[in-house]
Amino acid sequence: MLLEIQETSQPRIFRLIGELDISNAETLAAVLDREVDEQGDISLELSELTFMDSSGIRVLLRAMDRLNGRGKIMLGSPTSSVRHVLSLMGLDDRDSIRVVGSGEQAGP
Amino acid sequence: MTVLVRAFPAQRAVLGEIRQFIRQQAREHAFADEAESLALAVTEACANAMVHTNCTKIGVTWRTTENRVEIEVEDDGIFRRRVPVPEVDGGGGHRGIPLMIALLDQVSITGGTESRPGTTVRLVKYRED
Repeated sequence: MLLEIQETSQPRIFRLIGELDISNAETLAAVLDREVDEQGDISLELSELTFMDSSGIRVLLRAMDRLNGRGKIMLGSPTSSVRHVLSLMGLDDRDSIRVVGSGEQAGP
Repeated sequence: MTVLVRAFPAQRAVLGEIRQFIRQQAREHAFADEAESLALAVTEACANAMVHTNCTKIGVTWRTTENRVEIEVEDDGIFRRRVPVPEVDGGGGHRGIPLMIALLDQVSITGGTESRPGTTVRLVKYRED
């Protein structure tokens, strides 16, 4: 198992540990699917996620779509490689997905 | 010139192992700064093979010369020759090839045929001076 998804003591805040790719993206999608019908932001703490590919991006975009304005997806402290792919795929510059505490300048 | 070839079963669960192979070669051949970009591009190429062809195994060739690395990802399947259409396929996927192009200096894809199966994705990154 490359990816561990930890629930935290707070609702709708999850910690991702390991590597997110097409072998486990559906597991994350299933977790997010349980949350997207409710109002409010969903936070993913990414400081221990060392890899994300386009299937991870696809899961984030789908969750954003299903949230449909009821909240934002907050991506906390992504590692440099994950930050790179978020930037290449244009996910670091959207109203509905926010990158926070990325080591560089924090978002507004 | 260094040439290394590894064969992997075409299973999603081995993608992590394929990345470890790429990261290790990148470190050993002075491409450490590019290790994560190369690992990501190779993951996308292998995932494409697994999703879009009926392949059973994937060969990964690492080839370094003085000024560049060339990685070939070869499968034994035949990919579907059609253009993804958002209205039909959904907007979700089909980001792998643009991502590879963004990460690397050259990307080429050679498709196989019924009589000559196999798809080869060739990825090139030049060494930064």
